[in-house]
Amino acid sequence: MENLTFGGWAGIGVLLGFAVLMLLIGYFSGRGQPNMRHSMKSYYLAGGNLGVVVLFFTLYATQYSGNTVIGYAPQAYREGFPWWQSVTFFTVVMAGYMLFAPRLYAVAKKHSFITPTDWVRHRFTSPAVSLLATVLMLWGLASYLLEQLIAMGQAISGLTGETVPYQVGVLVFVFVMLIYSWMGGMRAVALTDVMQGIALLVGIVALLIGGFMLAGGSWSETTQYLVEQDPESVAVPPLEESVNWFSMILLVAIGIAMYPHAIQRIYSARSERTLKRSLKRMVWMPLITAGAVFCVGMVSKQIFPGLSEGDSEQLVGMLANAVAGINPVFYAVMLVFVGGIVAAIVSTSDSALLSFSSLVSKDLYARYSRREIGEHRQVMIGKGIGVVVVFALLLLAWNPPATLVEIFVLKIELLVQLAPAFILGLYWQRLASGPVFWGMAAGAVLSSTMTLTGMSTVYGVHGGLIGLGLNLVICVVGSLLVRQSPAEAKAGESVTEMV
Amino acid sequence: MSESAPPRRREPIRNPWIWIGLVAIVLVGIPWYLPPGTLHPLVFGLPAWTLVAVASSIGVCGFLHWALSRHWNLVEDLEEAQDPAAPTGGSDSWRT
Repeated sequence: MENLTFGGWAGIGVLLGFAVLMLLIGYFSGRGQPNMRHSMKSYYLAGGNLGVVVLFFTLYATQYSGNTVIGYAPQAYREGFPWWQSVTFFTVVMAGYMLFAPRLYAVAKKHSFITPTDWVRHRFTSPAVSLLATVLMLWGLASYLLEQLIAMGQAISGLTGETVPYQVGVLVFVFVMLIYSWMGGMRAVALTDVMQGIALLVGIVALLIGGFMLAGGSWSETTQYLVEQDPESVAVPPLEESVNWFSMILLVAIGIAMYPHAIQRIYSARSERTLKRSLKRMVWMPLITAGAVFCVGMVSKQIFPGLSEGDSEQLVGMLANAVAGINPVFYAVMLVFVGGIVAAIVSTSDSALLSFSSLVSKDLYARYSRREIGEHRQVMIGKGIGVVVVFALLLLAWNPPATLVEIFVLKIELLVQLAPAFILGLYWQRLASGPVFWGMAAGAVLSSTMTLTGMSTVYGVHGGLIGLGLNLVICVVGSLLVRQSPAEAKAGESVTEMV
Repeated sequence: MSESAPPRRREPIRNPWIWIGLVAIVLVGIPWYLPPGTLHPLVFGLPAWTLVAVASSIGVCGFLHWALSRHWNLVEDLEEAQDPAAPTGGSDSWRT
């Protein structure tokens, strides 16, 4: 996203506009809920009362960030048609929700859950399982947040044509994010998601239309170019790549549905009907989000042929720059688009940060403190933790890794290990805490080791899925062999027999 | 919606055909069954397999929309019975 000649002061103006809008939303969200400072449910779940439109946009902003555009268009450019998998895997995330959200929603409402760990604690009555699940979630969220902060800096310096230095841009938006989250909690986060989601959607569609015009505006010319000049990009890939395609779909479907902030959005829904209607709208969004981004990457092959891997990472910035040059209307829309990318990154970060804060304040601090901690204090501690975590991650973000998508796979491979505790735990009464603990630990260690040793896939199958397979075997075989404690058996029975 | 008999509680996970159908549609969209490097036949200027992949993705969207509509009803009726006045659409859909 570097050297955007159309950026400069116009870019700074757009960014400031977005920042002011976010702060206003935060201010008015906080004003409408005086109870928010004293209630965990109010601060972290907007009182469990999100309506269809807001829930839909907050789910949308949670699933798609600016990274989906900045990282995935170059991926399509490099991999060619097999990257169409991104459309399917984002769609199948709804199937991931279908595996557990209906029952988890009902149980969460009944028992007033705030964090994902509340479910684990309720179901397994085991401090060890709760702690391990919390640590995995915090690990996943931290790497997710780090990724977003890196992308935020790149997008800001890119939009302003380096007028705003990377570090300054990140600091300003981090402060904006912290202030509005502080003022309005989940309500502010969800409402800013609406604004950010609309800006991103409009921008992606405009980028695609502009890109198509730059490529000649002819479908047959573009397809002819791909088939004749770059046949590898549209030819059937090797079998191992097809296996990897299916593996990615499975991994993302289960992994993204296990994001702690995604689970908290299930808790936040006003009703089952609201949740269902939001998810039904979400089902179609990959076609116009990931699908449009994929097309941007493919069309760019014709506009910018022969880019190296490093250069292709700048693809969206280069294309936005070129599209802005078409006419003043595209110039204006591209300004809003790149501002929308920054806003979308902020909107994804705020959700993850809010979730991180809730986990630390409720599941670590309040849980392991020697004295009783009131809700007001828990909310305050959570806010403080949010500030500390962001600035600790910022120190790491100054030296960003090269390829954003690779970091994305690392966090999802850990979060996917929570799946048996949530999915099996909801339906299989006999699932016992010991095997869940060891399964989760073994799955996390195996998938991390595979990633750290550079062996992230075996015959195309992702390490996260292999870890999940081991995790599942330990959970099932172990639970068939061991006896549950009476408390655990009772909790399992109450949940699995609720329907 | 039937007014005479109480609707049966439904969860998508309990219907194996949803998952079999979903995996089948997804698998059709991945070209594992074709020889690597295949380009022809071309349809609308693109290799046919790419259009099959796009059709599969649209099929997955429609299929999941249908499954969410028809196979998920756990506490909806109970919630609406407890709070019958609560609307879920219109201006209330913006509610936070």
